[in-house]
Amino acid sequence: MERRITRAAALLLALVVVAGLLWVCGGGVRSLPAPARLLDPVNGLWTMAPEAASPPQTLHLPGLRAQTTVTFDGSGVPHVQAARDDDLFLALGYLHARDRLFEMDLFRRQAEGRLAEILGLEALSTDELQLDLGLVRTAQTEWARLPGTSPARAAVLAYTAGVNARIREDEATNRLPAMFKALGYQPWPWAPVDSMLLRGLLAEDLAYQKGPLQAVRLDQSLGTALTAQWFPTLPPNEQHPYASGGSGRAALEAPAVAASTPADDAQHAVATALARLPSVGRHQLFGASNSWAVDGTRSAGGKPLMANDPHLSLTLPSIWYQVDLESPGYRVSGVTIPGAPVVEIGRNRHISWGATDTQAQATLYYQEKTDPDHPDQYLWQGEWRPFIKIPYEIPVRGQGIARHVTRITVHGPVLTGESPSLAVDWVADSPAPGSYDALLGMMRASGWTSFTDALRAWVGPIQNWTYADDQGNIGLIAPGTYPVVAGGDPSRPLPGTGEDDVVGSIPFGQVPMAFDPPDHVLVSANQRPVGPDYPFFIGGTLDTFDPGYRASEILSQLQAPGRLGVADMERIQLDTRDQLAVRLLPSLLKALGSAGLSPQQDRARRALAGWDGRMDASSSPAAIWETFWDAYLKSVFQPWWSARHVPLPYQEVNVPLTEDLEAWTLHDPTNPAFTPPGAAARTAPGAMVAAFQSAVGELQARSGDDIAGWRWGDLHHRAIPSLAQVAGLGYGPVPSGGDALTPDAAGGEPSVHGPSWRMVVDWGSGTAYGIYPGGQSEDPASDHYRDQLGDWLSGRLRPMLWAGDAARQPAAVTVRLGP
Amino acid sequence: VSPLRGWPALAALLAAGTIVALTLLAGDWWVAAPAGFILGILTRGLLAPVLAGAAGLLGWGIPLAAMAMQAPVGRAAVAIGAILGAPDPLRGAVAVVLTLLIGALLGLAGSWAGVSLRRLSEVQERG
Repeated sequence: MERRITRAAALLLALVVVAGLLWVCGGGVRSLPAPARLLDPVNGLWTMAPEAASPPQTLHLPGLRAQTTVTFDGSGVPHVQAARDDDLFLALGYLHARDRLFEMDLFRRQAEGRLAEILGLEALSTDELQLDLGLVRTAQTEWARLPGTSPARAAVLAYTAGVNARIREDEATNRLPAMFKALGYQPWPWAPVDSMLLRGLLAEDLAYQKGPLQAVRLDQSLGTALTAQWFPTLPPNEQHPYASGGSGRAALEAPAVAASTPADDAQHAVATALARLPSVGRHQLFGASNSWAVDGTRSAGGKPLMANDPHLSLTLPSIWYQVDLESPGYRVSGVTIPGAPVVEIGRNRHISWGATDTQAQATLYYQEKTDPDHPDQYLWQGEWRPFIKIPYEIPVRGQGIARHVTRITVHGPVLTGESPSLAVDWVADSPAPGSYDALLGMMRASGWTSFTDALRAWVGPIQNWTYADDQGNIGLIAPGTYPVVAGGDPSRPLPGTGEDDVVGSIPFGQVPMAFDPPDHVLVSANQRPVGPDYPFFIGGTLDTFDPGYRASEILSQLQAPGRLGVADMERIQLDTRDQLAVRLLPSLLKALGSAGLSPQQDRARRALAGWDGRMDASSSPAAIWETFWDAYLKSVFQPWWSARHVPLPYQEVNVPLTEDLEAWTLHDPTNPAFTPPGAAARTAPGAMVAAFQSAVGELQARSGDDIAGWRWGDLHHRAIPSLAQVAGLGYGPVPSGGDALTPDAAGGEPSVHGPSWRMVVDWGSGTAYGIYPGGQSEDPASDHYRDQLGDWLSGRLRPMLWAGDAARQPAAVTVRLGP
Repeated sequence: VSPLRGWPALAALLAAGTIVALTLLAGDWWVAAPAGFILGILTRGLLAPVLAGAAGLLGWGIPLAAMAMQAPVGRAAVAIGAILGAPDPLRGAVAVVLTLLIGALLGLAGSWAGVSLRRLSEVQERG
């Protein structure tokens, strides 16, 4: 009997263990994915292997009206040839989903405020902010307002059908991309609104500005006088705008209303809003893109040469997906953003275009007037109006549902609590249903007139669009909605009571623009696009325009003697010369020449004396320069920041401070800023010598006595993280040249921001070249996950082929898509 | 039923492994456990867990081996190892070992229950 009981107990225990194992393996523990489902060799993560293999030669694509051919070249770039325009966009949607579905889903979740649903509580505050900023509300309105006859509507609908065809196929074959399986969720069907959302997300990254909030914090701590001096409207250093303005500097400076220190509760609102915005408008911090064109008088081929390298956050997979599209209405080649049915940067048979971020101020803040006697209301144009309240339910992984209420005023969403209420009016809060029609119009344009006509519908983010064509013309234009206010200073939060509201925008005919300039060269590298005579306020130095060193360096290269070719364009894109260093080095060396230096410091000085300003990874003068510059900036501004208790780090506003320091060092070496508060008087040379000595000490402590061993690449690295934040699927960090001010931009340590796509178009030969860091596929097992990275790192461009040439490549694979 | 040994046991192992592999195609990842259970009933002593573990391992290994003939399983293994957080040089190995381990564990656990059931029934027959 006892033996029977023992064995029954053993059986029971075994069954319990088996059941437990099945439960853990199949259901997971807490929010961790189920290991057996994850590692199931047929249906789990391993499906990334067969998915990475070559596509079948024929594919059934529901919704196609006619047979469509897709030729994948050796880089995995699809060359689509369709007999109908809608088939072209259907195929594009299918291809995007085939190669980038997880990325697309992540983008739309981020924009819609639904990241917490897959990532849990850590993403909740991001979701709440996104819901407040309202990309999804804007996208819904844009889609609703898009006319039934609009080409964009037809394109988005066909594109959506293509994406959903691929999602259904993936689900039916259990081959959803690996990260869906790793995170344990499935994508819901794509909707047209999702494609509209991506435009808002781009605007948020490129054009959301915090400058007015930072200005308030600076006014309050640094003082209004110093803030006005150190963060002026116009840059104090030498820059090269590409467009001339109209007339009337007075008009430009009209907003210079005497800044007053806001009340404590308003300060609190600003601090609250700033604290919520660490991740938006990231481009403003590292803002860097280059684009230029030269006409036939400067090029070896006798026709324009155009180059563009937009600098964005670098990830694997990249934000870009390269395509070549051909149908009755379109013949275009370039890069798309997965989720959007348009070529953002590229060329067609007659024109080419590129973009840099204008960074003009298009974000306004309004301090809404509230009163305890009027709960849930704000005062506008003499009338108490109710806040519009929109309740949201946010699914949070493992936590149930979180509730959030967004409040909206006539100006836009409120970023702060009940009182005081700070509302924001920004570019993606204004529906712009014409954005896709503008981009489709650019894709079809055949000359400057049709190109600029297409851009009339463009609202934002405001971009500098570089243009070149086969007729020999070059141009640059920055269209979009530049808000013009009735009164007040838009560089600070404005009163929300109505008198300082937006009353219009700069007319299209007066936006920054240049066409076939007399010096035959056009450059945009995020510098202020217009000179001091431009009659409209488009932003100041704080949190807006680039300090202009890249533009100056590029211009100096383009204006050098000799005719330019594709190789020169490639070389300039890889240029690591820091113009700030070139400008200031003589002053630094002069100051050091009369200073008492130690033997080690003197060796470092001599190294700098023979330096050409190139921030190469192997360069020791580059390491000395950058360490010196950081020390110089810190020695001048940190004492002021500490003494005045400035609540944001000076590094957060270092662009205007860099411009100031350059200008003072060269032209105003006795500026009072060099003397720290309460300390003995100091001038620029004194501050430079002290900073240099400190830098040499720092490098010696870090890298030893041998100056040849102080390499910039030991201090500075580049990394390309995986979009899914899986360390092993990213790249780097590796030693890297360049810095935030060089044309081959690499700001930050490690730098995770930089040339996201390098393109050169030569209208003399009719050829184009491009490269981006990564590869076409988000599948880490694919040949095309990061097969372009090596060429990108070494600066080689790959030919952007038309379909016929691509099909002749030995590695080409042609797939026929049938209805 | 007389316990399996020798060639019949080997045949049972191959059959069980094949069944586990085929049912994975249908999404039934759990079949290694009942397969192990049956092998536990049909075999004696150490042979039971060895056969059951091997059947699970085989069942989960066959699809990987078949996939490797036409797809980049090595790169997939490295990527899966990265997703699982394995350190760099071991990523691929960790992914493969963990995958096979799950199949083997399911088979082993199933065999434990099978052996336990057989032992209980033996006591009841005698008693």
